[in-house]
Amino acid sequence: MKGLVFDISEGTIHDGPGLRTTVFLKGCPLRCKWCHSPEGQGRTPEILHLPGAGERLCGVEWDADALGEHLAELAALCGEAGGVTFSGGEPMLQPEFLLEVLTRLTGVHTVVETSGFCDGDALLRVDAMVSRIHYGLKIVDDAAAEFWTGRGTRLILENLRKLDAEGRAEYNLRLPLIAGAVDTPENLRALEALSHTLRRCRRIDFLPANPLAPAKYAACGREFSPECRDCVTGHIPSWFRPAVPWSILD
Amino acid sequence: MLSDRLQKMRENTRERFYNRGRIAPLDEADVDLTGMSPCQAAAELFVRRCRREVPTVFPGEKFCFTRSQGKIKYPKTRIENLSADWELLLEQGVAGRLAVAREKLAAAPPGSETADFLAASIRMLEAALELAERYAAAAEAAGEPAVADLLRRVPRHPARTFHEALQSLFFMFSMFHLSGVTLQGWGRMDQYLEPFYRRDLASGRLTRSEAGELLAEFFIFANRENDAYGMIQQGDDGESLMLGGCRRDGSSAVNDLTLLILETSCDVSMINPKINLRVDSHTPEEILRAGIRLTGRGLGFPQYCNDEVVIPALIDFGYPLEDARDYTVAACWEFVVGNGRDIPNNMAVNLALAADRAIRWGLREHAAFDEILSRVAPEIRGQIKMPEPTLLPNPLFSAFSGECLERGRDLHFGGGDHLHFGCHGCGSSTAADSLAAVKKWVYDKKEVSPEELLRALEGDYRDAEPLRRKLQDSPKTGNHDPETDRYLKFVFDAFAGELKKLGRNKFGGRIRPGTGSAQFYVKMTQGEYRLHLGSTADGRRDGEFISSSLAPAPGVRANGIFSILKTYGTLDYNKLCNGGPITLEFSPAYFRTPEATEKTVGVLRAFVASGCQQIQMNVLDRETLLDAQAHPERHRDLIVRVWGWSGYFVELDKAYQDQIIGRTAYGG
Repeated sequence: MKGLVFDISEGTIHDGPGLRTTVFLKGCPLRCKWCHSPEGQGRTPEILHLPGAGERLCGVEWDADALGEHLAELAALCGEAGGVTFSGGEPMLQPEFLLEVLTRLTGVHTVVETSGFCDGDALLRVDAMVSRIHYGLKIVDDAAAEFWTGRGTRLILENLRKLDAEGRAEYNLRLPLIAGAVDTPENLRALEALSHTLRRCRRIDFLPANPLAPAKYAACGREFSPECRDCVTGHIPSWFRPAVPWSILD
Repeated sequence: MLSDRLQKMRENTRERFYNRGRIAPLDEADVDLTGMSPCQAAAELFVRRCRREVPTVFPGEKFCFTRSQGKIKYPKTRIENLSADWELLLEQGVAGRLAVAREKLAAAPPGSETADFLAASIRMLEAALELAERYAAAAEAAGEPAVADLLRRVPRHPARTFHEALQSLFFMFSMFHLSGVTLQGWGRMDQYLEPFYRRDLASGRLTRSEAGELLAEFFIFANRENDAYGMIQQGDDGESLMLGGCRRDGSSAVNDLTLLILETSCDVSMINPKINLRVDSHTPEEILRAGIRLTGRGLGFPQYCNDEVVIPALIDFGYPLEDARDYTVAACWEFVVGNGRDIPNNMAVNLALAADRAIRWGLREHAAFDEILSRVAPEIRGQIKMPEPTLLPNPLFSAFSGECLERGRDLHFGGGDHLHFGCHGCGSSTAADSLAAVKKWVYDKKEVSPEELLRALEGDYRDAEPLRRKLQDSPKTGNHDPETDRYLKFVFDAFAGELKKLGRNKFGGRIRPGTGSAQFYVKMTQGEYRLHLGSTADGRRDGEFISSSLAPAPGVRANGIFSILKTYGTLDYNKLCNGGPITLEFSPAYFRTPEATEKTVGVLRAFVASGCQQIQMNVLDRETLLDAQAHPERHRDLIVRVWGWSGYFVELDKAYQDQIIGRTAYGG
C-alpha cells in the first residue's frame, strides 16, 4: 500500500519522549491560518520554489512496508526512550497506510499527532497500535474554530470523547499557542472546562508559535494569512487551572 | 561557576595580559652548535633557552610558569602530537629520572651514542630544575612563600598532592615546549591524577569544590601561551586530553575526576585543554550527560571516541592489547598508543583528486565504469611515498617517554617500541559523490556524454550550469544510500590497501590510514598545492571546499543525523586506525533546555550503536558566525571547532571561517 510523505526528520527532540524520527504525512483537511507547514496541506505532490535553492519536489510516495522498515532501522538508533512520531499534514487522512506502517513498528515507541478531524473508528484502530497520541485540538468554540482553521469543532470534540472513553494509548492535548486565536480568555476557559470532563487526558502542552512560518508560503506560491501576520506566541493567564498539568514546550 | 579571581584571570588571559613581557626567542641560528652531536646540540639550545627565561610571578596565583620567549622557529623534525608519560613525572619526579640517567651513564661505554644521549638528557633535566629554582626564588621575592615552597618540591620530587601534581605537570609541559616539542597532549588526565585526587579528598586536604577550583585555574593557565604554541592557525596548539574509557585490564576507567574535569571545562569555557571522551555501550549515563552539557557550551569538544571500534582497530594494526586499551589522542584525533614515537599526521592523500583523475581518464578513454573504479587505487598510489624523515633527538622529552632512559636511546633513535606514520584520507565524500554522479548520468541514464562532462570539468562548468545542476541531483554521501556508501567504502579500502603495500621503512614503521583531513580541506582546494583539486563530477566548482574529515560534502543537506551515522557506520575501521572524526553540526535547539540536552545524549548512544569510530559534535549558529565575520569586536570569545581543535573564530584566517560558515547544521 502506498502513502504520501513530505518529510522525514531524524533526531527530533520536540515530538515526544527521547530522540525520535518524525514522519510528516502529506495532506490536511484543516487550513489553520498560522500553519507552519503549508507544503503539507495538499494531498498531492507539489513543487516548491525555494529562493536561492531552486526547486524541490515536496511529497514522495512510499510503500508502507518500505517506510516501516526504514523507520524501524532508524528507531534502532533512537534508544529505548525515543521512537517514531507521525505528524503532518494530518496522518489520519491516510489511516490504512498509517496502520500498515505501524504494524512494522512493534516494540518501538510511537506517537501519532492528529487534529482529531478524522474518522473516529479509524482513530480508535490507530490508538490500539500506538504508544501515545498528541491530540491537536486548537479551538473549542465551533464558530471560532471554523474561522481560524477552516473546520468546525464538532467532529473533533466527538472524536476526543470517543478516544477518552474507548482508547487505550496515553494521550495529551497539544495546542499551538497562537496569540489572539488560541490564547483568548474564551478559548482557555472552554479548554479548562473541557479538561474537567476528560478522564484519561494526561496533560496539556502548548507549542510556541513558529516565527518562520510566513516565509514558507512564498515557496508554495501562496500568501500568508493577514489575520495571523505576526504569528507570535500567546500568554497563559494565571487563572488558567485545567484538570491536568500543563506547560509551554520549548 | 568561576570565582571572581579566576574570572579575572580568564579575562586577563584573553587580553594577553600575561604575554606583555614577551622577549625574542632564542633560535637555532642564534647559537653556535658546530661540532656538537645532535643530542648535545638539543641540550645546548635548551639550556640557553632556559637561562633566557625571566621568571615572572603574578600575585595570588596558585601555579607558576609564564613563558617569556615568544614563538620559536620549530625544526621540521621536532617531537609533536605526543603526550609524555605523565605518570613517570608524577611518580618519580625529575630527580628520579635524573637518577636513572646517571646510573645508566655510569655503565655506558664512554663516547658511545648511549652516553651521548644520557649526558644530554641529564643536562636538560638539570636545566629544567635550575629554572624551577629561579622561579622559587622569584616567588619568594614576590612575597609568595607558598608558591616558592611548591616550586622547590616539584617538578624535582614525586608529587604528593593534587596541587603538586598539577604544578609539576604544568612546569614540565612548559619545559617540553621550550625544548621545541609542539602540539603536546595531556594524555589520560583522569587516570594519572585520580590517585592524588582521591587521597586529598580522603585525608580532608581538599574538598571536591576546592579540587575543581585548582583544576579551573590550571585550565586557564593552559590558555596562557596560545600565541606561542599555535601552529597552522591560532588555537592549533594541541593540549588535548583524554577522559573515560577502560583501564589496561579492560575494566571501566571512569571515576569522579572524569566528571569533575568535564564540569570544570564547562565552567572555564576556553579553547584549552581540548577534551576527548572515550565512550562505549556501557558508559554511565551521568558521564554522557556531562559530555553533552559540555558539547552544548559550543566549544567544539568533547570529541567522542568509540572504544568498541577504536581498540579493535589498534589491535588489528599490531599494537599490544593492553597498550591499545590505554590509547589517548594526539593534538587532534589521531589515536596514540604508548611506548612509541608514532608520527600520526605525517602525510595526506587527496581521495577526491584520485577519484577525479580516474574519472577524467575514463571519460577520455571511453572506459567502462568498473575500469574507472580500478583506476582509483593507482591514482592514490601516485600520491604517496614512504616517509623516511631525518629525525632530531629530544633527550628531555625522551626522559619521560616509555623506557628511553632505561634503554639509553632517544625516542627518535629507536628508544620506543614503534615508529609508525599516519596518513589522512581527505575529501572522501566528494570522491564518492563524484563517482555516483558519473555512474548515474554517464553510465546508467546515459543522458550525459563522456565528452560533454569532460569538457565541463576542464572548463570548470563555465557555460554548463544546467549540466552542473543535473550532476548535483545524484546520490549523496551521508544519506546512507547504497550507491554512495559503496563508493565511500571503496575509496577507503583502496586507500588502506595502497598504504599497506608500502610495507615498512627504515624505522620499522608502517602507515596508519585515517579518515581525518586536518588543514587539507583548505590546502587542497584554495590556491597552489601539489594535490590541488579542480572542479569535480559531483558539480563542485574549482575553489569550493571539501568537507572537514568525515562529513557530507559542503552544500549537501543529508537526510539527517541518523543517516549520516549509518553511512559512516558502514566503513571498515579496522583498516583505518589513525582516526578522523565525523564532523556534525547541530543547531542550538539541541542544547537549549536541560530536557533537550538529556535527549541529545541519545545521539551519542546512536553513534556507538551504529559502529562509528569518532565524532565531533559542534553547535553551529550560522547567523552568529556571519555577524562575527562582520563585527569581530563583538564576538571576541566566540569559539568554533576548526578541524581537530577549537579556536577563537575571530582569530582565524578567512578561508577557515568561510569553510565553517558553509557547514550544514542539523535542526532538532
